[in-house]
Amino acid sequence: MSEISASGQNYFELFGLTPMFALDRQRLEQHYRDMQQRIHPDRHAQSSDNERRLAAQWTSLANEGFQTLKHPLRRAQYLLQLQQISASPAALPGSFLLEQMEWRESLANAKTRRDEHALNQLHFTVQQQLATLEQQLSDLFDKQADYTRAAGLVMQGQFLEKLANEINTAIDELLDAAS
Amino acid sequence: MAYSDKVLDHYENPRNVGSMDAEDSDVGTGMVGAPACGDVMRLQIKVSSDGLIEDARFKTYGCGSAIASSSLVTEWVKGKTLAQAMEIKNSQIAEELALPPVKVHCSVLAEDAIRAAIADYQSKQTTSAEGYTACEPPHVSKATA
Repeated sequence: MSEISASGQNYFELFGLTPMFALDRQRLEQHYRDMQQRIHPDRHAQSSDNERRLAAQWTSLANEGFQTLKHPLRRAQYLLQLQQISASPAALPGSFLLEQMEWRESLANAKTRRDEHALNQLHFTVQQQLATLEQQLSDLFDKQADYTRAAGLVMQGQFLEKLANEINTAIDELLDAAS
Repeated sequence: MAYSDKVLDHYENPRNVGSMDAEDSDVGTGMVGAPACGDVMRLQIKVSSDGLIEDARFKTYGCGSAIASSSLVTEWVKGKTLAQAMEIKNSQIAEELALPPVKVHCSVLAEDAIRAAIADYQSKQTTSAEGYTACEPPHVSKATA
């Protein structure tokens, strides 16, 4: 097992994948499982301290890489990082922020009214928006190589995911209280 | 993480929550957001004919520090000129609220929000000045210069 610092691979290379937004999920999982098998610390119980240390390092690198690539928005952020592109929140369109504000307001109202239907509807709307955004990202990254616009969309996706999480929490709380 | 007493005070009793008519030519609206935490902040100022900020309102969806930062800023800008309001620094907000380093970005958001609100107000004056120069109070040309 070699030193990680000497490998210099990015996560895509680590799993034998082309650095793209579109991802062969099965292939990623297969490579990840193979790698886990090879480097699992338990397999190195009889090895030297150094071997075990390396196995632990590779395990954490593989886990981090798998989580990063598996998740669409994190994968997008990672692709931007590889391209050394960053976006400023000042570039967020006012109309987008206004919509976020309104959705947050709807969420707060639905929570107060304990309106499960409204929460589910909001959940649906946000998930749809996220799905559209992923399609746009695939186009911007893999076809147009327009990383600047992709960076802007990734920021929007971060808001949407945060909102989706809060809606899910609100729905869970409502269902917990009802049961 | 424990919030400071001042953050708790603003969080529990936020000052100047609400909205003003964004279409009003005396009102400037600043909308900002922080992608990493998903916070969104709207800060509005109403500017009097003598160029003073006579009222301010905010609405923030975010953590306690973001709410407190915007609440504090609405208190601070009232009675100030636009130039004075532009001088408010996020470091002053963070210091006043005793924000820990991981929450300093909330004060940055509040500073960005005032600047955005002032810029919005000024852009309205420039636009309307083209059509109705005679109706514009004299302070406007100074404020936009």
